[in-house]
Amino acid sequence: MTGDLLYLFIGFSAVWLGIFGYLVYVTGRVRGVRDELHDLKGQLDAPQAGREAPNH
Amino acid sequence: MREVRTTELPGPGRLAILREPATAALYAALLLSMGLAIFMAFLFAPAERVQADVYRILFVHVPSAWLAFFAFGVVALGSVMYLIRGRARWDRLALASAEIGVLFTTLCLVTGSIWGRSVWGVWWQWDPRLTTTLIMWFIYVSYLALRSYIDDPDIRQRMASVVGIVGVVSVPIVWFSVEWWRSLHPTPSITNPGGGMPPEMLTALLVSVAAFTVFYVVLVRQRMQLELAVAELGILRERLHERNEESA
Repeated sequence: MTGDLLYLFIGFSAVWLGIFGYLVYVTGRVRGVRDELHDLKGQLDAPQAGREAPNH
Repeated sequence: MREVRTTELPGPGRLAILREPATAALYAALLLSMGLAIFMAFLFAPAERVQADVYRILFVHVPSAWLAFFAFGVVALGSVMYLIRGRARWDRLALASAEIGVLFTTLCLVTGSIWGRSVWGVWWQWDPRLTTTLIMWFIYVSYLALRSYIDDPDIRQRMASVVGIVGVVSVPIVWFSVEWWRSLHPTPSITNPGGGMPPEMLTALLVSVAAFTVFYVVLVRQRMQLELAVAELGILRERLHERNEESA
């Protein structure tokens, strides 16, 4: 009986760890990529060095 | 020059994603349905006469199997639609669904193995259902591997679509394997009339399947968002590179 409950516990743990682990992994990656996107957008929006210099 | 649609992504902040009404509603539905599914699996459904409590693995094993089949069906649908329409969002749907299908197939194999160890006394049997499920798993792992080995996006998406359509043939093979060949695995007890499952167990199982399906929707949405963000990142990098070259 105790052995059966151990198998039940392992089965449910495997599923929850698998699904939530994947969700946390994907959410973390979305956050990382989103931060990088904001940085790159900031760089693109910033005036280019030398472009604003007057021409003589 | 292609427009970068970063507005589709949530703004900064750790829990920003929950500020979107649709996402917040999905997560609320997920929590409610999962809570109900766990309650029904452990407190509503009675113990089984022969297997006692270990049979409750059924409430995660069957939903995992159902979602594996469903996910690979969605891969085929996304692949067909991509080949017809040529829009990247269908390919993103196919990719997200394939990855999540592989996850659920893995969980189905793992929980089935744990259950089998308890009931049959062995971790693995070369039984038709188990063997065909393993083959299906390999097909979709190959699908994901193929995608990562091809650099050209157009060729990658087209080839993946073909594999996504051909690969779905494995789903009915897995489903009917218990009827076509002699198998240790039981025949379907939900779809067959008089399957023998008590109503409380059946209700708990259907609630569990529904809760896992909500989880699938959450995962697919999140995975598609990631793919979109990665695509936008590539465009922005390209633009920055072009600008740096112009100014050099």
